[in-house]
Amino acid sequence: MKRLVLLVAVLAAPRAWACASCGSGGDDPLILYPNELTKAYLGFTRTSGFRNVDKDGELSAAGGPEAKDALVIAAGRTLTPRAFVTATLPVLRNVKDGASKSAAGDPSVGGRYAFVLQSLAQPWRPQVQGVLSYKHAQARSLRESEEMKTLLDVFGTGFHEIRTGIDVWYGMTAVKAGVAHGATFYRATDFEGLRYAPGPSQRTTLATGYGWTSSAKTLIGANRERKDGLSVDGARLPDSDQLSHGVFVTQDLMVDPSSSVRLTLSRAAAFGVNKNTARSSGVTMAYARAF
Amino acid sequence: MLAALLLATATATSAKPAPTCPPMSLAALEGSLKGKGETKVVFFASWCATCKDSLEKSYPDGTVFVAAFDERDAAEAVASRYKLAHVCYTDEGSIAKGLGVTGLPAVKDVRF
Repeated sequence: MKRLVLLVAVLAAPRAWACASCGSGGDDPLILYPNELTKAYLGFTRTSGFRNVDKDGELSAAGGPEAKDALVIAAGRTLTPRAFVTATLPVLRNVKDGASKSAAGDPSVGGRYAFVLQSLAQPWRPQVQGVLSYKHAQARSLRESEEMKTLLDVFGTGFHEIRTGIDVWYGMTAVKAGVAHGATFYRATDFEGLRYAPGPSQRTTLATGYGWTSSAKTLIGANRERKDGLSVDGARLPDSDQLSHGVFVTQDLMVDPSSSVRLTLSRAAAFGVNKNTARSSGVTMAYARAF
Repeated sequence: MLAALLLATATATSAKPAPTCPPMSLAALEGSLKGKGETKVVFFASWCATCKDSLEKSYPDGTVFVAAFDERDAAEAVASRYKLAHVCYTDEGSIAKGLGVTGLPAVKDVRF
């Protein structure tokens, strides 16, 4: 660099980060592009309007918190143009009747590896990423709650989780589309002498979008999540399987070459057949910055 | 006569070598461009959708294309598809960093 005597001009560098896209599932808050060595993410989600959905799909009032807030802090590191790893920690707050409780949620670590990279040489070839993550159950779960009336102190599932999946994304053209499928496996855990073993869950997400400019992109999508039933001490609880169909819309905007903002509106159990789940609406505002 | 001309043309076309983008460091790039005056350096990547426009533009003789944050095979496939007539390199990691390029596409005029 000592011999670099003059850097004359930058002729074109703005909107530099709106290149290849990925994360069609939208399940991971933080996605790194190959040119982003390190990236930080700060997102705030408010989920509200909870309604219980029973085994027959009937809606009823939910007894838990009226609203759940999540402040998600995440950081990622690119290892190669094909691979990156992330670490995520949510800080949660439950609100009901003017009262609230806060706690750290379940931290997770994950990674993605692109088996197939998108290329300008073959614009119709999709990016194919493998996804692997682990979530460590450290937050209080429903079975450990000391406030069973309000559930204000419930911040996790109580089960360690391993998620694996695949994410296929067509992002080289203005019209974008993708499909992501993942399976989550839960580690059986003892609560008060009983062994709880949730069945695995399968989540499929379809998304499509449009790049309005090199710095603005809108995505809409739908997801389907099916979770096998719960076993207690080896006995499967009848009608304990879950099914949920949700929708989301996301607006991404690059505010400068190294940072972006994202607004996501989502609704769980929004359409189709839903079972043993909860209907809710979510709003997420997020900021990500690459270093 | 016409058949022979067509054959000769086809042979000449097929004989044109595909563009290559060998690995390059900033120090080596500086060495190769030293004393050549102002040089335009175009940064791109095969996975960068918004790099398409910059690959399709016309550039003056002596322009250097650098595939950054990318793999050589993928960069050469793009160079071939866009028929890059200029010198092309694959950044080993130091060129973009040294010239302050963090996003793509980017075009810089440099003088070493």
